[in-house]
Amino acid sequence: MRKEPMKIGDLLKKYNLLVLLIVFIVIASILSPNFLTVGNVLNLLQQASIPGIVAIGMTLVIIISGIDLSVGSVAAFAGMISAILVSKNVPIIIAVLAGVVLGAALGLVTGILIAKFGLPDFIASLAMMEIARGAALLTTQGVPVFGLSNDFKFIGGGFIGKVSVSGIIWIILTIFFALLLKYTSFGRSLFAIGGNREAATLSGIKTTRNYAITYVLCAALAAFAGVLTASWLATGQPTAGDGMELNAIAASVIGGASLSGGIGSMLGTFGGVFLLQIITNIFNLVGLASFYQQIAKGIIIIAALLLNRAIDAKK
Amino acid sequence: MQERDNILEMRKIDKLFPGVKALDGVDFSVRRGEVHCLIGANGAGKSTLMKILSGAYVEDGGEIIFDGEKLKPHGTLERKKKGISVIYQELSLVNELTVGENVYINNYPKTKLGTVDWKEVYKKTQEIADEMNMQIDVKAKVSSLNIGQRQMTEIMKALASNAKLIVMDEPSSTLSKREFETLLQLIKDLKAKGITLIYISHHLEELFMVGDRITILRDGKFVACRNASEINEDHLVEYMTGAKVSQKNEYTEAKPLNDEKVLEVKGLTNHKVRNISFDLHKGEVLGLYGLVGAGRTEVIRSIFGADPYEKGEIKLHGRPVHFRHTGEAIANKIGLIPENRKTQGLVQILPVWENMTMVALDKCKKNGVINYGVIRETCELYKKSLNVKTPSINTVIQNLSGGNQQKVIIAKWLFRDCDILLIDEPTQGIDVMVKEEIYKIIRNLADEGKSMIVVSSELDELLRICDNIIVMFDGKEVMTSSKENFNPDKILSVSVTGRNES
Repeated sequence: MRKEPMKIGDLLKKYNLLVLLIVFIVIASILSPNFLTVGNVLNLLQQASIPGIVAIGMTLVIIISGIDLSVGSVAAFAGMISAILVSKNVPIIIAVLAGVVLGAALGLVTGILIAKFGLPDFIASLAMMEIARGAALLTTQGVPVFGLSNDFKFIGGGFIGKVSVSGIIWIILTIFFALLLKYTSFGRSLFAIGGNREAATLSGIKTTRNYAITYVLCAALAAFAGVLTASWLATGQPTAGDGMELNAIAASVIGGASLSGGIGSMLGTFGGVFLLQIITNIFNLVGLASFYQQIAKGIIIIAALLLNRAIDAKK
Repeated sequence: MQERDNILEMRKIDKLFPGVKALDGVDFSVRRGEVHCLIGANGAGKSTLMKILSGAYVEDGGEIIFDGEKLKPHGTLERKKKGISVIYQELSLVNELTVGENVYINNYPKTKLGTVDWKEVYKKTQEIADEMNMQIDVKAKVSSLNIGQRQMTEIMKALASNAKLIVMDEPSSTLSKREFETLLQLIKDLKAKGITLIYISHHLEELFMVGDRITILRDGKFVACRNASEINEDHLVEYMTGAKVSQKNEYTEAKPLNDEKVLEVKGLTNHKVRNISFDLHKGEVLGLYGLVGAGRTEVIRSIFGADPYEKGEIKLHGRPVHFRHTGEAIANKIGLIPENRKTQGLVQILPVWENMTMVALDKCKKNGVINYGVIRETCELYKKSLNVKTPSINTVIQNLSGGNQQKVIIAKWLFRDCDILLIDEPTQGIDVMVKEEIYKIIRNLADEGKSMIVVSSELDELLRICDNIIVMFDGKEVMTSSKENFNPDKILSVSVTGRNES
């Protein structure tokens, strides 16, 4: 039977995230007069930028119906390598690049294992999560790297005027990948692969290659986020990035991405990351202990998804 | 009051969907113990009516009386308990479980301890199988069965839940000829057991083989109910379309083939195919006929580079080629319209435009980036020229009817500007009217100089559109026939027996 086009549902879905965002912004401003100050909003941008960059890559992977659990560990490993290189006075640009390239290489391994050898995404990335975490700890036998140069601190913790550098980077990357998804064959192919890999293959799309590239992009972005973390903390922390993957998955899904693949958007994910960050921010402003925060966050994620469901079912 | 001998009466059934009245005061009644065929073009309301019967949908108006009892709207499980079983086209079996497990899946026999009594499960399943003369291993995993056996499992499942009325939705569409014969026998046996059947099919000739009576729906309305013995196919088509269609055996005239060979296949051999050779000429439509599983699909998939082949030589425009993946074939202007639209042909959740441009997205680029203006223009053009019925090119493709989905797939290869199209089951599950359009499209393309290989299980279809037909049996070519001496009976018998005695 012919159904109505899905447009209305889609709009509602986007609208839904916007409504949630507004609701939480209103709640936050009532709870704390400090919330809607320029300072706090810019602060939010700074805090959201690192999970935000990870979520960009995660959304790409989710669109092809994959999942990458290794982002947190890859971030930590890359952050350690960059930090060590910086501490040894290697030029910053090279240190940063080394971290990102390392991440990309790890992503390539995960991607090939999945796309070429057919390992399940979940398991292959879980294995990489263990390997990268172990490697991160091994670099310094688990000791953090301190004493990083002030120049290195700029990319993750610096400001241009009042705006954080990492926040600007996040926004630029979001726009870049949104355009990539919309205006390139590679970008469109991800939706086809996630929607129906066999149909994509029969349409001549290089599914194996593009699948692997997506994992490379995701890991490279995670690695970059890891380098930013090291820069921001001015410390190479081998235990950094714990739980990053779940945060990124939650943000993508709240932003409208579907774990069964073929659906997802950069703007949605941007909003999703912001929403999660606002929630944390509210609790911090009202002084709620972090244990409660976690519970509340979980509940809000469920609520957001149920709302999506309800709207979906209605249409 | 319900007529005594009617097991089912659906009266004045209405069903509304947003923007569409799917069913409009439909009357449908079935006599106890008969095989009642339900027929109509896609969108006529057959599936909707059956979903209301099965409890999957709730009617907006009208009443249902089953076995002397007025049914309240309730779920599918309730209806099943009342004795109504529906076997859908996409069978609902759990692949990793055995036949017995599937048969008793929602009603396992229990031991005294309350655990599943496995001995009893298989014993009872075997009893049903024996009773129905089914050749099936009740302990086999469903994933190891062929389609015919899976259907048997579904039927056993219905019998195990004491079904009085079994609805079969397109049971024959994926069956080979031999399996279909088994199904015919099975239907007879079911009838002998006093079970009532509703049989839905697009294949008109089948209806006369299985049915006692035939009800025709059109555009959500009841059109007629006739005894199968009283009418013929032409009447049926007339009822279904509401218009007289020209005699269906109107084959296009045979015309001499162009000398130019676009594709030469010599000794193609793969896991399913043995030593297949043929030439495809410019502007030729070449049919591959045979039973399901005869290796037809495997021939074209190997040519296309979707599957590897062990031996054989393929020449494209006289030049030897060996495509190792689909992209290479596409780059050489070959397109494949796969057998299964849903799982191979389309990305269901994406819109019409995206499916239409999937193989030729690079043609929609300006300065290296995708230009949505070009996409819109292109898609609107094909929407018009192929008469694709869709509210918009932004509509998600799964909301289109099968025929219109197929047109989108054709458009996608036309846009790629293919010289050679490999078409697998061009009209499976597509209603009569759109079928005609697709035949016309294929013939027009041939006249424009495109060459096509068409795989089909419907001989009529191939007779109509092909210049030559190759009959395959068990991976081998057993007969080749050209248009001027097409002999349907001969082709049919060769395809079934694999013997070509001339």
